[in-house]
Parts: sequence; C-alpha cells; structure tokens
Amino acid sequence: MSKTTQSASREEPAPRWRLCAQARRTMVLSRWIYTGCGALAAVTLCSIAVLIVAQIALRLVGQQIPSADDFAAWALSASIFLALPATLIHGDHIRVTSVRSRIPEPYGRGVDILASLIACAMLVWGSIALFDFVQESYLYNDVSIGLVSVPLWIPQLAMVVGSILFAVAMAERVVRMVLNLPVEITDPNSSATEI
Amino acid sequence: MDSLFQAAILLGVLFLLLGLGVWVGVALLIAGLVVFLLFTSTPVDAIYATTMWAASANWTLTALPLFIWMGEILYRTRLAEDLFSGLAPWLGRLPGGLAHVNVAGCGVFAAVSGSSAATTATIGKISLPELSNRGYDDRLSIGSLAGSGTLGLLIPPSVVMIVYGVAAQVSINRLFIAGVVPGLMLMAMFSSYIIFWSLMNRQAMPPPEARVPLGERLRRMRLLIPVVGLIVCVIGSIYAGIATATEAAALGVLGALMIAALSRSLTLSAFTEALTGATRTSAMIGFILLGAAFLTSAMSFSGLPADLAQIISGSGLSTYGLIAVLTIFFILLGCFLDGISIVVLTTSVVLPSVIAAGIDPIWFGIYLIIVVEMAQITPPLGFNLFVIQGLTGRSIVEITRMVTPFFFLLVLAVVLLTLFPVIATGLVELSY
Repeated sequence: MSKTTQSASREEPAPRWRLCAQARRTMVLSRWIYTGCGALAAVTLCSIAVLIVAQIALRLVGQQIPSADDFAAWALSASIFLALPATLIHGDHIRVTSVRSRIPEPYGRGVDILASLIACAMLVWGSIALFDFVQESYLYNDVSIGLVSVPLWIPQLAMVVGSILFAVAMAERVVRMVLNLPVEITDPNSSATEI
Repeated sequence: MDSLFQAAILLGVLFLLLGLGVWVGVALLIAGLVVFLLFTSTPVDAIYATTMWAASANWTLTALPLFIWMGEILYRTRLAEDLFSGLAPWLGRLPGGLAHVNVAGCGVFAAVSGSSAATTATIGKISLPELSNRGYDDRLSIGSLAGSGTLGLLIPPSVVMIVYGVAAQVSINRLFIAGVVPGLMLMAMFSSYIIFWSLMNRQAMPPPEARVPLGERLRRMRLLIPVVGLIVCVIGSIYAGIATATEAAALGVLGALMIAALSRSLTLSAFTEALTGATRTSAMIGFILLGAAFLTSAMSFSGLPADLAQIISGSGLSTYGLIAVLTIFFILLGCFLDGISIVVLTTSVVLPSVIAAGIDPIWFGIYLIIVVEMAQITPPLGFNLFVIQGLTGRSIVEITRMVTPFFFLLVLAVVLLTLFPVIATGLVELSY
C-alpha cells in the first residue's frame, strides 16, 4: 500500500502532497474514533443483556430494577447509532451492488462517489435535525415518564454523536475515494451473519 | 390517478437511489424525505428527529441484537461439525440417506442463526464434501442444501421476523409462534421430496450408512443436545407466555455463553468477535429499520396507502389475485434486494394497503417471509445461489437447475398457506 502511494507522490507537486499527508493523518485518527465508538456500542449492547438478565433474576425474588425497560431501550438506541460509523468502514451496511458492478470504469467510480455524496448530504441534514431536537429537549428539560425520571437529552446524546460521526465517516469516504485511498476494512473472519 | 403518480415518483426515487448503490437505509430516508416535501406540508425535520428517537429507543427491538449475538456465539462453537456427525447416524438409513441431514441440520442451525446465507454456508461447508465423498448425487445434495438453507428466515427465533414485527408493529411473540408450523411443514416437504427422489432414482443412491450403536449416537450429539435444548427453552418460554421475546433472547445469550464455555470454545477473542459482529449487524439492520420507520411515517402523512388500498379494492382484484400479484412482485424485487430490505420496503409501502384489504398482518408476515425465501434462491440473483457457487465452484445455471424442485416446493407452500391460513394462524389462536 505505502509503496504505491510513495511512488505516486514523487510525480505530484509538493504542496498537494503535504495536504494529502495532513488529510491522511486526520483520517488515521478518525478511524480510531470510529473504532472506539464501535467498542462503546458493543459494551452498550452487552449491558442490555446484563440488564435484562438481572431484571429477570430480581423478579424471581420479587424485586425489580426501576425503569429497566427504558434503560434497555436507550442502550439500544445508543448501541445502534454509535456503531454506525464502524459498520460503514467495515463495509457492513447493505447496498445494492448488482447494478453498480455492471458499470464500466471510470464511470463506476464516479457513481460510487456520487452515491457517497448523496448519502453524506442526507446524513448532514439528519444530524442537524437531530442536534436541534436534542438541544430543544435540553432547553425545555424534557424528562422520561417512567419510575425514574431522567433528563432525556442524556440518552439522546449518543444518537446525535453517532449520527454526526456517521456523516463525517461518509464525508471521509468521499475524500478517500477521490484520493484513491482504501475505503473499507475487510476482515475475513466476519462472515457469520451476512443477511 | 394522482396517487398513482405519487406512488410512481416514490418508487422511481427509491429504485434510482438503490441502483446508484446508495445504502438501503439512506435510500429509505431520502424516499421518506421526498414524500414529505412533495406531498405534505408538515415540518419534516422535527418529525425526522422524533422518528429516529422513537424507532431506535424501542424496547421491543432489543430482542434483535440479543438474538443476533446468541447466533454469533453458537456460530463460533463446533456446532456445525456436531450437527453433521450427530444427525447422520439417525437419518442415514432413511431413503434419501444423508441428504436429510441438510434439511434437519439447516433446520436446527436456522433456529440459531436466523440468517439464510449463514445457514447455507455453515451447513454446506461441512455437508457437501461429506455427501460427495460418499457418492451422493449433486442434484440431491446441492438442491436440498439450497432449499433448506432458506429455512433460516422462517424458523424462530428469526431476525427477519423481528424486523417485520417491529416495522409492521405486530407482536413478535405471535409471529414466532405463527412460524413454527409452516417451518416444520417446509422441512417435512423437503424431506418427503428427498425420499421420493431417492426412490425414483435408486441407481443414483449410494448404499445406506452402517448402523451406529445407540451409545455412540448419543456421544456424537454432545453439542447438539444442549443447543436443541436451548432453542426449545427459548421458543418454549415465549410460547408458554413466561417470557417476552427480549427476555427469551437475553436468556438465550446466557445459555449460548454457557454452551460455548462447556465446549471450550469461549476464548476472549471469540467472545469479542461475536460481540462486535453482533453490534455491527444490529447497527446495519437498525439503520435500515430507522429508514423504514421514517418512510412509513411519511407514507401515513401523505395518505398514499389509503388511496392505494382504494385503488386495489376498486380494481376488483380478489384476495387471491392480490396475493398472486404481490408474490410475483416480491420475487422480482428479490432479484436485486436482500430479504430484510424487501421486508421493510413492504411494511412501509405495501402493508397499510394490504391490511386495508382485510389481510391478517400476522399471516401476511409468514407469507412474506416464505416469498422472501423463494427470492433467495431465484436466479439470476439469489443470495443463497451465490453462497453455494462459492462453496462448490459450480455455475449459477447448474445450481439453478438443481434448486428448481425445491423452489417449486416453496411455491407449493405459499399456495397451501394461502388456501389454508390456519397453518400459520392456528397455533397463535391456540396459545392466545
């Protein structure tokens, strides 16, 4: 990988190469952020199981965790949204490739970039809508209506963070495709649940 | 005419985006946005945000990642190997011999994994080489594998069923119960066909397996028995009304971890791999569901489903006619969309009209899942056909020819289900 980019760099003018290197450093960092968020999502998913098993066990002895259903639902929301960017960079989000695979190069690459741009625009708009929504929920101090009343912006924060990072990851995908960098991490061990 | 025009715009936008290779979830979101902006005058960003929150912080949906996780854990044990060696001595002496292992093995593994591609790949990896070593005809072994692989969607706990239940707002417990009889019926149909085929083609069948003593048979089932026990407990607790789908799923994860620990396949790396795999798969499905939820809400604001229902009822099409048209439509969709995408598209665009036409949503869910199963083995683009192509290196045309009888068995199952809806709804009525 690094070999080919180095040979390419020699032919390109210096300022653009510096920009490239800068972008690349940022993108290495951003991959760590997506992976970290994905790990957080995994921990959250694990906590759903723990919470529900604990709830069943406590019910057997006649007790309960207050608002356990709410907490499980919030954890699910956090788990889905926080895992979105990591799922994207691993190429696990479903898309139709049967039409795309028939388009010859270089048009195919153009279609790929267009698809990512469309998705990026949608996600940016969506993230702004979600941000406004949670900001309002914070300003008007919305609280949950269960046994335990929690300010709703706290669980909703994960949704906003996940959505923004997803939009950023999509923008990064566009940049990577324009610069001809690898877009997806493919690991051979993850074929367990291709649906 | 106006609403038909709106529907055409909606489908046009959707298929254009999907064809460009835009992610399914994003395509659904944009389609919803287009419907909101063109056909309603509602403030769309507030609805977008509330839909995203309500659809993701959804207690019913928590069953989904947990069942996926359970499957991921068991997938990393020696279950697939044990399925073959454990089932072979019991089924090897039936007419049709070890081909029945494909059906029974896929049936058990389907209950665990809920994905038909994973079921086909996992069982096929073990059974196809074993069957061809023993001299079984490829038509029988490959055909029965492809057919039975589709059971992954129908036999509960099934991921696609949870997706349908959440998107259509139908009780997941009831769907699981409704899927039991059709799933067993399909297994029986596949096995009967294998028996029939082997009796008609005696010269093509290898000699029957040697008899294996009972003690040895039981010893070979050491991983199979606890896994089947776990599935029976999970489904049984739902059936008996002791547990909700989510609670059953959480206990299923616990049970799967114990089985993995007892069979010494629970290493730290296997645990992390299973958990991250489950997290990403649930995020992928969750995102599609969010897109579907937004499109559903756009559809209900636009009033389009009610108009379409009126057009359907005005067209004089009988219920059977409607089902026939929909079946062809879904099989065509299946040529380029995966099962989950077909299900969410249907629930957000077609289902309201179908319910308005007087069709039971539980029955429709089971019907839809069987039709999606058919789509998985329909050439030229069935997911399971590609999986088998990857396993055997055969051409799609050859595989298609081997699969055809099993495809028609699925068609027969749909016909039976349509003529006798009680196949799906009977057990539900009994238990509620």
